[in-house]
Amino acid sequence: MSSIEIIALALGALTIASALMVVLSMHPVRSVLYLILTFFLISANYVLLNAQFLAIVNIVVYAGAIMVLFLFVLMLLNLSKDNEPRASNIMKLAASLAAGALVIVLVAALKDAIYLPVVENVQGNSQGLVENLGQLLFTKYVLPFETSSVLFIAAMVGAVLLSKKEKQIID
Amino acid sequence: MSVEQLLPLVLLLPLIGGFINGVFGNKLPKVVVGSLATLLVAGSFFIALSIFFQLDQAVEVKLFSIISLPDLTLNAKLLADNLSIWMTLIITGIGSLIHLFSMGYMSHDPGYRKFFTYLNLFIFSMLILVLGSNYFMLFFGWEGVGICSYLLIGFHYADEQKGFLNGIAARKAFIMNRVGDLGLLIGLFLLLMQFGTLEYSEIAAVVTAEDFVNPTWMMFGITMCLFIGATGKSAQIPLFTWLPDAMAGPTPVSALIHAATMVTAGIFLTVRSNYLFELAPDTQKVMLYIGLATSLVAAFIAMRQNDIKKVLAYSTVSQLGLLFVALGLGAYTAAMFHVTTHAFFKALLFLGSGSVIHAMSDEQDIRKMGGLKKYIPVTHWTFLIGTLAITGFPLLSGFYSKDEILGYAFAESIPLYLILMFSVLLTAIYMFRMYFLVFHGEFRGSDHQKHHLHESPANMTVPLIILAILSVFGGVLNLPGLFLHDQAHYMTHLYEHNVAGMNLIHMEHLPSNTIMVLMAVAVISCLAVLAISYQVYVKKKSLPKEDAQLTGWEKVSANKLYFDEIYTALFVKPIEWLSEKGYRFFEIVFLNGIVFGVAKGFETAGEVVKKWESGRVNWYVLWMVSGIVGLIIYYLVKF
Amino acid sequence: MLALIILFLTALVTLFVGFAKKPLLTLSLSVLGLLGTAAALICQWYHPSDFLSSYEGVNMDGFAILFSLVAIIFTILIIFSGFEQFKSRLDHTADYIGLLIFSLFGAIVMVSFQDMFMFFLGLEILSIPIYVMAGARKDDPLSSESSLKYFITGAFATGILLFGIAWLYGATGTFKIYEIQQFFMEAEQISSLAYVGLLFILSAFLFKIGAAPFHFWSPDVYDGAPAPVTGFMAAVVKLGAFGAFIKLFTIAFSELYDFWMPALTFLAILTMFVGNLSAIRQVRFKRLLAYSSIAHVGYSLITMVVLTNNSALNLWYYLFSYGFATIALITVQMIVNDREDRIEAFKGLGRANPFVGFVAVVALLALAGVPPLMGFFGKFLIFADAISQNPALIAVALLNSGIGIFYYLRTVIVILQKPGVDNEIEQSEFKTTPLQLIVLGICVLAMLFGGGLLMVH
Repeated sequence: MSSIEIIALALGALTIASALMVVLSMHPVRSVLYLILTFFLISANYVLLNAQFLAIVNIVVYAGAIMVLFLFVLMLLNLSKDNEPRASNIMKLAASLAAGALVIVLVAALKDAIYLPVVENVQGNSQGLVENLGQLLFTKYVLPFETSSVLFIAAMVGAVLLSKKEKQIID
Repeated sequence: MSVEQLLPLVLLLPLIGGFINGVFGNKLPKVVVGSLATLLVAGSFFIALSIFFQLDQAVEVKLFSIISLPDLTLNAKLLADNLSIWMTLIITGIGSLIHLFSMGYMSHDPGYRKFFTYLNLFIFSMLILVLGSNYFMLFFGWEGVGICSYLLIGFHYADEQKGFLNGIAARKAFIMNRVGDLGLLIGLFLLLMQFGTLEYSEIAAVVTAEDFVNPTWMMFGITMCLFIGATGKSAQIPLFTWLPDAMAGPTPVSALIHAATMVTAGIFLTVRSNYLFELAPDTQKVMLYIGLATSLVAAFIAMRQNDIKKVLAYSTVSQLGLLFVALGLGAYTAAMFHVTTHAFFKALLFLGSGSVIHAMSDEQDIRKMGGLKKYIPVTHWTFLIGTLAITGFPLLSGFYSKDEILGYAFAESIPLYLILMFSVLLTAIYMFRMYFLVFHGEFRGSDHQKHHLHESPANMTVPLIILAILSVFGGVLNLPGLFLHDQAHYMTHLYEHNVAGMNLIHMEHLPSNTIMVLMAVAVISCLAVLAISYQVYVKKKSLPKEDAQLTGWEKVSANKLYFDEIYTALFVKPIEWLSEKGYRFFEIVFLNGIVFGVAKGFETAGEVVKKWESGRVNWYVLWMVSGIVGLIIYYLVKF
Repeated sequence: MLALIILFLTALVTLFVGFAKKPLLTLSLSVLGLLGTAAALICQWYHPSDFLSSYEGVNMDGFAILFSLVAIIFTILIIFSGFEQFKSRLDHTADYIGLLIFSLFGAIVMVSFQDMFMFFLGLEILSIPIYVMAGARKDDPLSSESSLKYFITGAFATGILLFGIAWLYGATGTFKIYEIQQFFMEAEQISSLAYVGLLFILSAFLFKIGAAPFHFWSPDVYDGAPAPVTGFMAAVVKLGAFGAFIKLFTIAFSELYDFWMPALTFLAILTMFVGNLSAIRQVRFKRLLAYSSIAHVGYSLITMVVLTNNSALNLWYYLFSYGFATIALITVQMIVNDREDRIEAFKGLGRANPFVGFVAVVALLALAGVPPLMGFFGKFLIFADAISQNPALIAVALLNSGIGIFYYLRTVIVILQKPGVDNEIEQSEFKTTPLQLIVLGICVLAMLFGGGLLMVH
């Protein structure tokens, strides 16, 4: 096993563990903190995969902006352990059973999967850098790129619609 | 004009009537609505008549294409051959008489215009059913008449007292018919699968070709499915109980739809598909026995009924059973012959009963009638003719058509003949019982009813008279070889001439001597029943039991004559008992227990499935995960 | 392409015109834009041009044009019929219409995609506005609840979908559907990654179309969402999802037919039963519609189970007929406007407003598949196509449509009944607007004469 593989495995295990903690920790603030940790670990995975730009963006946008917003909201609402609705024990049991079953069947299904031969990078280590990414986005993938802007506008309009204070309905 | 031009007109006229009455009906005076509907149907009848006389070879008229895909073509095509035109004549002929009758009968009903709209639409659908040139058109008409029948059974759904029951009766009819329709639809798909087409002529050509190899099981499947369709519409065991309930509809509807035309759609379907049924002898056997059983059971039940329309309804079921026996024997022409005469006298009887009910201020219980013959003479005489015709009184129409079927049964096997004969005897018994109870003896209704007794107006009695004449002379359409050798078997020749498949079917005619003997047996038994009934109901004034207790009259009678008790003990009692039990069994155990049990089962299952919906989003996701796990397990099992 | 651009501009213009607070202007401009989009598509149909149609990721072929045109028609009808409700909140009229148009954009992308990027984007553009619209009635807790439920389950399904796409990429090394097809044709051995990916994508699709056991959200969401949104979900969202479904599975996964067909057969049967059996006991109208829609998904899945040359067209025609009936019923529901949406509230509709009652009855019968209505032809085409391959499945489907009759007929009876006399149910006034009458008119014409469409081929 090469050193890269060992690092990848360790990172993967850490990422999963931290993601699990997001779900399992009782306190919401702690959950969010674990989520931030998870994002960092994912970014580390990106770096390992030679996608440096994506790693940076992931940290800036998710860990930086969105998660901080989450924290603010949580603190403003003063959510604590007591008033958070708890799932029933049956629910917990069922959820763990279902999740466990999913893991087991997935492992069973994928344990001897065939992988495609690894294609060597033509551009070497610079593939994941912003320049190459930009090139691709504005040439080959311009349509998906533009279309995603439609998605954002739609989402934005939706967010405004939902968060705007309702005036008294005119009957 | 040529047949091609005339044929669409036959269809178009009732449709126009339905359209005008449906859309503008509220703005037109009642007289216009009624006479428009009646005249248009009569117009259809005369056009059909002119087609009938100039028709030689079968004619197909393409109207438009419904579906034309590369591997599936369905055309809206009409087919005129002697069978379809024959049915058209019955439908429009009796239809126009019943329209005329309804103008009087429904005159006080607030739903007058709606009624005529439905009736016209019914005629239209029924004509599509018989005139279509493929099974698809037939299915269209089939559904159409089903819906019209549903609407008309529940016609008085807003009635204060019985509206709810009427609605239930309508729904029962619709649901039971759907079961049959399902069979028919599957049959259609199987036909499509086997032949790639639904055109009668094309299928007939394939099936009757010299080198056709009979795919036995497929044929069995197809014909069984078609037969299941027929059991629904033509009220055979196990789907027959809707028909008596369907009497909740106005009486003209019972006459037109539930006696003369719609219920014979199953017979028509079988005759139309004769070339298929000939290839599936097993289905014919099933048909034979189901028909026989239905005929007997319905006749048993009719013995105990006291509602004038119910008696007629069970008698219709019994006659339809007889028809299926004929079809099971392969006697298609005989079946059509009996369909024709049955349409005459059963429509007559129903309209007659309508006239009686009308006169009795909507009373339907025969225990409350009696002695009506002097108050409503026209109705009485025509009703008598109808009764005699259905019981097979010599030389009336029912005599010939019934005897023909009995003859074929005799040729098949003697036990079959005996059972069938027994059923015919029962028919005679309950019909005479009803006739005598209604028209003879003392009047047993209230003074109020007695005061209002009146003969119906002319537009109600004229159809009765016409139908009575037809019931008397209808027999000449297919006389047995015994009389008038040249003109005998008119219908048989007619059908062999240009109806697909019919020329290949040859029924052996019985030797004249045998026919004579059978006829003699029939005549003697009919007359015997008549005599006994007369003795019992008129001379001895025997009445249904409940009333006897009220008047205290039966005790006296029983003491006077010992014969009655023996008769009752030996004959009436067991039959009453059987009839009662049969009624119980089929109505309660079978229908409520099994047929509705299935529906109940679905409802309960619905309840269980509904409980899954706990409204909790966690569970939803959980189910989704389980679904995914299930799918992956499927993958693991597969590889 | 041109059509997509026009549509996007229409949505933007609608949003901006909204500031003027003139609902009629907003309505007319948006409908004009939609008609323009349709016109562009029709031009494309008669004069196919590569420049305007195909691009890296999308291709406006005949299939896409047919599905898109129907989606546009349905959207216009829904905007018409829901206009009264949109108008009641002046601030948001344009937002509502704009969001619906955005969602339509997603639907069109979903039927014209050529690679997984566009497919995924289309799905999200289709879904996100609907998540929002489901909760548009903010004063109604049921509406908010349904929005949240839809969002959470939808997000889960999206995650599953992405997971599946990733695995598929891992197995085939490409996102383009034709290349995936090529790969499966040539591959000597297919990796288990591909199968698992396929199953995950399948699950996400089943969620979107609301097939058992991924259907649980749909009754709640149909019930809670505002009526026009319910109609949109039943007609347009389903159309887009089914279009993408059949496209993906007939092109990319056509080689794996033997693998996914049995699973889909089973699920189709399960879906039919779940939908029909649950519908029997419903007392709320939109829940009834939701279960009926589940049952119809089951019938539609038959086209996928038996793939023939006609499958896509049959599916298209079926969804077309289904959409008209559903939109008509949703419009009727808005006219009845019962606070608790009880089926009982339809009592007397046939007398109080014969035209509306007539349309409702026709629509219910069309859903039940009674000839000669359009719904019957839809079912007939599907069943006729499938009978030779899988008679047992058709028998089950016929049995199910038999069960279906039961609850459709029950509702028909309620509509035809006399208005109730008991005071518990206050009688609705059945107020209609001209636009709703237009919608009903179009729907009823389509249902009555839609069978004629088959003659065109």
